[in-house]
Amino acid sequence: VFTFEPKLFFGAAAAWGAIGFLCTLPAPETPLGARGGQWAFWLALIVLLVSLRPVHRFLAALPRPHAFLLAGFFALLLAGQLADRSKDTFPFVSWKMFSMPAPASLGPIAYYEYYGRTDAAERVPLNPERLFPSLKNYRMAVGLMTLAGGALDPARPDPEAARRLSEALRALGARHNRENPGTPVRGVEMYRCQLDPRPGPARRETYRWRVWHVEVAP
Amino acid sequence: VTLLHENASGRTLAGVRAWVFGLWLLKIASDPLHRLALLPASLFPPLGPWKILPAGVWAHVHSAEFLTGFRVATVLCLAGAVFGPGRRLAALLACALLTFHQAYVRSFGYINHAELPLLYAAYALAAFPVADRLLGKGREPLPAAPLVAVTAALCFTYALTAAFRLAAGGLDAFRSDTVLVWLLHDAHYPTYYRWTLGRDLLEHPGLVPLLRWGFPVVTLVELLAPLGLVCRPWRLAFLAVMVPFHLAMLFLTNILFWENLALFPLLLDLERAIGRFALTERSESRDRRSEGPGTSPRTPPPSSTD
Repeated sequence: VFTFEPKLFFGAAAAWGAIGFLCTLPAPETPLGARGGQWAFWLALIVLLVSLRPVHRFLAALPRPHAFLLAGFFALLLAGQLADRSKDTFPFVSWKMFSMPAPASLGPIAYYEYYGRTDAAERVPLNPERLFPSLKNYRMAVGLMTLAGGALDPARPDPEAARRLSEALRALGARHNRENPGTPVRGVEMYRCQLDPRPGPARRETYRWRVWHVEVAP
Repeated sequence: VTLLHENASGRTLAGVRAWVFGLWLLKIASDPLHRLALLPASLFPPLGPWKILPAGVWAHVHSAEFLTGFRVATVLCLAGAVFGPGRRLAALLACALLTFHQAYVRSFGYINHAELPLLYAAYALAAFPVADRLLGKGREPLPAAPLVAVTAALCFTYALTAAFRLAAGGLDAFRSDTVLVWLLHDAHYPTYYRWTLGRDLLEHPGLVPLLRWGFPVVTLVELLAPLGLVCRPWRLAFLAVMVPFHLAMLFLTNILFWENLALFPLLLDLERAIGRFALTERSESRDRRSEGPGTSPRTPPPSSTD
């Protein structure tokens, strides 16, 4: 099952050392130790894979252009992860999913809801990702939440984030009005909601309070 | 132990190429990209390849006219990659445009991963034919190389996710209610899909331990996904865990990685499946021919002379 060819092995190890250099570059969020741990894991996994006879046979038979292409592609994939600077290295990014710090025990959950207000003072729920489906998969939801975080920061509210949040909410209203000319909204409201999931459903309450409001041009 | 797709044929590669670029074609054609021009340009800071272009270019990107033209150009290139005579060139152009498209839609919000394995698949399927050309005349193209690259990239993305999770969070995430906090939080986002099962997670007592114990299992399966390239039982185990996992994520948190699910058939031995299908087709058509017009379908076929 396994085979060992020094040339292939040391070639891969040298390239891997160069990628490992990326671990030492400063990254915004991931600590150096975490990147070093990943580097070691990938080294072990790649050594294991290239030592497997069928993989080794396949790689050894590849013509040079194909081998360079394959090696380059996976080097970029792994370098993107280790560099952890996704905004600079896109489309080769770091693969963070369910890896952000979260409380270890259940507690109150905060989130935002969006409503339009009609001429008749009726409240119409707005779904930002339905209005702008290009930004689905949480892109719109997280983007708005980030803006709200900056605009509503109690210690140091960010006026630029506040301006952008207002513009984004106006755009939600404008898009809704294009899709629903019969029931246009004249304002968009953003609510911060807080829910404690621990009590049973009968005693569970969601607290909502309006944190932002913009007028929408007719 | 054999390497998946090691013996793939040109026919299988052509089918996978049509599948991948066809999926992108449907995705881009149905995406109302021009709507984003309603949002203020300041929400879209340039990202990835857009950073390379002069700042003046970026100022013109965020308009309904440009975005419509960009979408039409991408759709035409993708249609060329699927149907056209100049597939190789169209595929390369399509990949370039898709990269800019995917960077653009990620410049607002955050950089998620949903479409990236499908993007990498398009890269491999567009780039390896160029490498085939470099081999010179008389050398046969290698259909196995792009298929191995696409499948390996898919498996590696899962392993990258698990490795990051373990390296950044350690084992704490598996020992506490962390996964429940994440799921409950995500279930309350106003998202495109509108399943609400995740909001009532705690009302389903059977579900909570399943998620708690399932999370480390999913992480382990993700981490070792690349071994599926050479181990059929592991591939099947991967599919048995990850298909329900992706569906659970949809129903619980409204996260759907349909692009990954669409690539999962690549974890099967397509060559053998297509070979079996072709064999069945051939034998059925031979049976039909030998039966001739007016022959009862119950008539046994004449004995073969070949």
